[in-house]
Amino acid sequence: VAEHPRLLRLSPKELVVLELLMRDKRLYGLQLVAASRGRLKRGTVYVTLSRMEEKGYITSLHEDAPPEGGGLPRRIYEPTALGRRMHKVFTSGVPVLEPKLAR
Amino acid sequence: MNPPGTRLRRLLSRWCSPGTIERIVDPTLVDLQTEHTAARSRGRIWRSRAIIGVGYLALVRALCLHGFMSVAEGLGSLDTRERQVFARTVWTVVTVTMILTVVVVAGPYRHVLGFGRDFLLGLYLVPQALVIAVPAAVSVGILLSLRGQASWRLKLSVLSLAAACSVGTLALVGWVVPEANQAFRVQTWQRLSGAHPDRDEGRRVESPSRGIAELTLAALARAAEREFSRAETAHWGRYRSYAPAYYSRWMVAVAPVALALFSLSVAGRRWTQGRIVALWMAIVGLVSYYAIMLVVSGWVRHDGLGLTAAACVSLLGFLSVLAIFRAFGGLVDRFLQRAG
Repeated sequence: VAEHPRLLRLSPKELVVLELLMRDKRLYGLQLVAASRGRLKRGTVYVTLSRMEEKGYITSLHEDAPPEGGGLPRRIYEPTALGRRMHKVFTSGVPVLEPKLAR
Repeated sequence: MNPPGTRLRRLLSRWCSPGTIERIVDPTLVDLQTEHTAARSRGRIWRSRAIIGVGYLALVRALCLHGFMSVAEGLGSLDTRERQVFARTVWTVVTVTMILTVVVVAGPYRHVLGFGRDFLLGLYLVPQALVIAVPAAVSVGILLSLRGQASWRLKLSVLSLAAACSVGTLALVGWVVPEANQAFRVQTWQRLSGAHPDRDEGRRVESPSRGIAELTLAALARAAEREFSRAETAHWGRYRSYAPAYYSRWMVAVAPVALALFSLSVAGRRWTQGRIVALWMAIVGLVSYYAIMLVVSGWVRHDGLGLTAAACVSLLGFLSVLAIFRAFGGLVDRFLQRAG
């Protein structure tokens, strides 16, 4: 939080991601797109997730076993404590949050 | 057999940062590979092919958005010194554009119309002058303002400024200049012939028809396409006229970005630290770019070179000029280092 001296904000797409992750705890990118019912697009979901990870709202880890047929392992996303707090505050109608209040 | 996207990932890993590969490219390709494998295991071959297309499209969209956001963040994260240099670059580009525009407009304005007779008629010449002035101003502005080492954030910001100039130039050469040209011709014709549509209501007053320079980019594209469909044009000793004009307009629109790349590649060199050398380098960049444009335009006109081939040849030509100056710059830098 100390690295983000400006007011913390949450874009509508970030709020959707947090909503879904709060509900289902851990999801893949494609699962997020499917669960969002058109609010997240497969072309842009990883850009949103990448930005959210940089801000510290979510964290990700690789799944243990690679998917069937080989290839790269999938990345699973879950909310951090800051992400949960941000979601709680923003769903209560606050547009921006002082960094110190998010701790 | 490698999963789809393996070769593309290897290619992208040369260009993108490890963070971009890990967070954007890999997850998108994993989705593609997972869906592709699932479709093939169910025997749905056409579906699996469609998935590859959709997956690649998603990757292109993600990379474009990521690049756009990185540029925006780069602009926001400039430190005080970099902001000053960026502001100085913008200021220099604007000033040089204004000076060159006045110089370019002044010549024809004095000769054709007589200085001071019709100020409004002279305004029609401004868009054309801007098309000439903006690329030159970008080149001069960068070389005069960015003397010394510049961070990648600053370079990215300057490049985005050049990209904005390119978009503006495209709008000018595509639509504004043709309309301004036509308006200029109509007014001049009315003045010379003494005819005026309002005054000569009973008489049919025809305006001069549009020439190549008065066609919008869309109209020019259609005319060039028709020209290419007539295969005999190049073989009967006749030459093309619409296709080279179409090619030249795109080249002029791309000029700010191309010249910005050239200027950025020589701006950090020891030997371009002086103002005079920086100005000379700007002139060299401009002359090289327009010389390539004229030569390739001639090939399109007389030798039937296609537009895609013309674009590729121009790009290769200008990249060669860049490579020569990079190599030459390195040699001169080393010489100066030893001498000093």
